[in-house]
Order: sequence, then structure tokens, then C-alpha cells
Amino acid sequence: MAISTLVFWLIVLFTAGSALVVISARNILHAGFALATAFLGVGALYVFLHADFVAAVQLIVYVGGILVLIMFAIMFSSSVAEDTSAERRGLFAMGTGGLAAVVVFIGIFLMVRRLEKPLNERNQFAAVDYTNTVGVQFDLPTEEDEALLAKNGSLLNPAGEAPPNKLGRADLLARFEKAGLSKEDGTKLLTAYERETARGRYGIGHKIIGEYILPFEVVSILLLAALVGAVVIVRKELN
Amino acid sequence: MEWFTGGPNVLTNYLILSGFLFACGIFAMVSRRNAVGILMGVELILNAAGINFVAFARFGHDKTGGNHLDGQIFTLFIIILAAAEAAVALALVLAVFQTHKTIALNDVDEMQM
Repeated sequence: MAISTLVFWLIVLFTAGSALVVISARNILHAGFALATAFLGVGALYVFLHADFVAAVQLIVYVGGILVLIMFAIMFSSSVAEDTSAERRGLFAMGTGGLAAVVVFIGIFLMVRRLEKPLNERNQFAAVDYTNTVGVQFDLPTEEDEALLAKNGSLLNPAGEAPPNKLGRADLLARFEKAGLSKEDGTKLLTAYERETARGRYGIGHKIIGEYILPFEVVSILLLAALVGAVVIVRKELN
Repeated sequence: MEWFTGGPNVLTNYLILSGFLFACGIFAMVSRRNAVGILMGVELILNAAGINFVAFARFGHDKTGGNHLDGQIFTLFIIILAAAEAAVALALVLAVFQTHKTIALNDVDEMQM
């Protein structure tokens, strides 16, 4: 068992255990700290999923923002003599809640198990293994790259053969050489292809400003409205 | 249990973990009396959805052969919206505490004190 396997299962155990502590802690402060470790575990899983920018945002916003806000609210809103043993609702509510949670989890589990074989057969969810996924793309396709791609693009994906994202570099170079390109042109075409596909890989910034500009602006206004509304709600009336 | 031994970086492991977090969030929302505890359940559910999106972003690929980055952008929006919603929800909790002097939601059963 490789060390990454061990680390992965430890993180999964950590996150699941934190979630269990959140739902079962008597003291609400303990539940808050367990929620912090659950967020940390989820952030670590984002790193495993090659989403390092999202992991950083998760740590900054969830652990450093939302959790601090939750802690403030707990501190401000619990009186000292509060009876924390009355943390739960009655047995009926816990029973139905537990039943609903178990039913949902078993349903999701069975659906996922059922999905696994068709997905593997169609090879649709094979992991595309790039080493770095997000951040800044330092080499954009140049104009000659785009000209090369426009001229020879049909070589990349001929009908009836494997699509280019399933092949390695050597196989793609072999395919170009078989189609008649010289070795140097083949290497240039490969570089052009990698830069072109990297635009999709590297471009969270490109996408936010490009495709997702409307949700981005709407979310900005929504944040403003939410914070102004929160201040208005909490403000005491001046008599 | 062939899914267990296939190595950890399989899509289904992440989906099962996010389903577990979702179920924990549901149970926390239903069974807690403290309003902030209910909000913790909501945050667990949102995190579960976020893991789902990023897992599908990693394990799917679009036609150019890169990763779907759209899943990660969805997760970013989930995080932003969770922050806004937590701010408003906690403001409500504080306002309820100011008037009712308790945040056990069983006892908050009148609209005005």
C-alpha cells in the first residue's frame, strides 16, 4: 500500500469522524471545533482532487471566515447557565432524522455502486492525470501555434482511432510521424496542442472572467446585499 | 468489495464520502435544538455538494482533453454563497437571541415577545 493511499484513507477517516462529532457533541463549542476539522479534511481532499485553488479558498473562507463567524455567534448567543444537556430534540425527532440520514446514505451508496461499472466500461470517468491544474498559465498558445493547429488539427483526432487525450506524448508523436510530419514539426504541433488544452486546464481566472462573468457579478452583489442585510438585522433599534 | 481495493483515487470513493457528509448534515439539521447547530448541518451539506462537484471535475474530461474546470468554479460559487448565507443566518440567530434570550429553537415559538 503506497503512502498516498494511507494518507488518503486517514484524511477520509478524519473528515468522517469530524462529521460524526459534529452531529453528536453535547457542547455546541465542541461541535464547532469538529466542524473546523471537517472543513480542514475537505480542504485536504480538494488537494487530492488536484484542485489546489479551491482548497486554498476553502481554508481561507470556510475555516478562516465562516467558522470564525460561527464561533462568534456561539460565544455571543449562549448564556453561561445554559443547559447543554438539552441539546437535542426529542426521541421522535432524532429517530426520524436518523432514519432519513441512513436512508439517504444507503440510497447514495447504492447509486454510486451501480454507476461504477457502466462508467468504467465507457471509460468516461478515467482520471486525466495532469500534475498541476489551476493557477496561472504561463505559456499561452502563440499565433504560429494556432496556425499549426488550424492546419494540422485533423491529425490530432483522426476518425476511428483513440482520441488525443487518451494517448501519451510518445504515441501522439508517433501518430504525427506516421501522418508524414517531420520530427520537428511534430514536436511543434504537440507543444501547440498542449498549450491549447492547457487553456482549459489552467484557466480558473480565464473562466471566471470569461464564461462565468455573470454569476461572478451576481454573486458580488449578493454578498453585498447579504452583509448589509445582516447588519440591518442585528442592529438594535434606537429609542 | 472491489471498489475498496482499487486504489483510493476512484470517483466513487469521493461520492460515497460526500454522501456520508450529506447524511450527517441532514441528521444534524433535524436533531439539534441549538440554531447554530442547525447551521452546522447546513454547512456540512454544502461541503458535501462541493466535494461532489470537484470530484466530477477531476474525473471527467471535456473535449479538448483537459480537466473540467467548471466543477471547481461551481465549488467556488458554493463557498461564496455559503459565506453569505452563514452571515445572514448568524445575524438572525443573534437577533433571535436579543429578543428571546435563548436560541433553542424549541422555545422560540412566538413571533414577538
